[in-house]
Amino acid sequence: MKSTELLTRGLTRENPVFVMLLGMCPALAVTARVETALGMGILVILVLTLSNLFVSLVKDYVPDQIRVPSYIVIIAAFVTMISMLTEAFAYDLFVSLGVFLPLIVVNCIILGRAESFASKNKPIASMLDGIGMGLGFSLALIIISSIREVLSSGTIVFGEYLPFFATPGDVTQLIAGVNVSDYGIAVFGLPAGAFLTVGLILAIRQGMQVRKEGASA
Amino acid sequence: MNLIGIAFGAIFVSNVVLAQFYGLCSFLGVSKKRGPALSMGAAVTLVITLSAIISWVIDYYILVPFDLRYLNTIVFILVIAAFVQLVEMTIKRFSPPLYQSLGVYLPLITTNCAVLGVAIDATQQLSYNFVETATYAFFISVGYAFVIYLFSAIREEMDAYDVPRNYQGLGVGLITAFILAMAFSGFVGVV
Repeated sequence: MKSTELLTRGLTRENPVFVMLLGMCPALAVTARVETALGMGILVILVLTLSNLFVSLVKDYVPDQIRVPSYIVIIAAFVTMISMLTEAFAYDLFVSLGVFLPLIVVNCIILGRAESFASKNKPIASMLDGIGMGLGFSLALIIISSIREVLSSGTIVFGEYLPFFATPGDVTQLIAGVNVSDYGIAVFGLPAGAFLTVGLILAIRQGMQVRKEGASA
Repeated sequence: MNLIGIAFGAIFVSNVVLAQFYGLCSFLGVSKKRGPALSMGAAVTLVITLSAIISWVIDYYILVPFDLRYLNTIVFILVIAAFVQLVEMTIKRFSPPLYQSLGVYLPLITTNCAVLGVAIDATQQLSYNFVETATYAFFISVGYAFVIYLFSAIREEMDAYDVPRNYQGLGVGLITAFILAMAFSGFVGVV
């Protein structure tokens, strides 16, 4: 398989969240704000790339019966390292992700890719697959969180959790004279709103697919 | 905080699926029929309760005294994986029909984020003692079993209706979960 395909197939055709329905917990839980969703996406890309690389390197030495526990330990080790780094360099993100940071260990996408791709392929291809699937997951989180944050507060705030924005602010400051923050729909910021948003996105995707099949038939 | 308050809060106010988003994979995956949903709820109740208690004991008597708390993710996931394996072997030995009906979902309890999430919550976020942890873990998993059964009953009923084509499958399922979550958010502030 070509490396460009490994990198891009996670974005649309095999998107882990919208198509394969994996990793729903973080996709619903940390998407009230775009910034936390982006942070979660970056961390998952890192963990997925590293764990895919290592699983692929050790795959020939691990006995088949204890495959899954061994992969879980590899993943847990990387998650622990990444979460310590997050605590040191992006403390606000660490606090706002809370328990969902250690829960990356049980994100089905990571064990799923280790089991279905990295344990059967070469190290470089597995790394690329990890980056590609991680990007697809991040894209899904950003789509969900953009809809939720705009609808719940009328704006997108940046610079609060992630350290790489020079000046904190929000996007409505970029458009002069617009004040939409008075018209927020609070439910989209609550847990219930996450179910509604993802349900509607899945319906739109299904509608697009049905239409495409109808056009080609 | 008294135990009744913990129990009520764990089932309704901070419901594990609808308010905390733990265990969504199995919630959405095993809820098409009532029977498997109920068995899944029972198996998860057993695993969450006992693994939270074991995790609490390990945390309190080993990790905290030796200042090893940063290893808690790795230790807890190993405890859970070993424990799920044990439950699987026990069920296979004593109740083959139940083993058949749970099928592939039994080993998947290891990666059910509710199990690790409750273990981490019980040891870190909430400063509960042993009895309170056991109560919390038992009733939070009763909350899981209750909601997955409720959800599967609604989905079974929905099979009889003509759902718009674009919403068929998980789309309407998530919107049902939205309405359930709205109903449960009415409990916020009771405890």
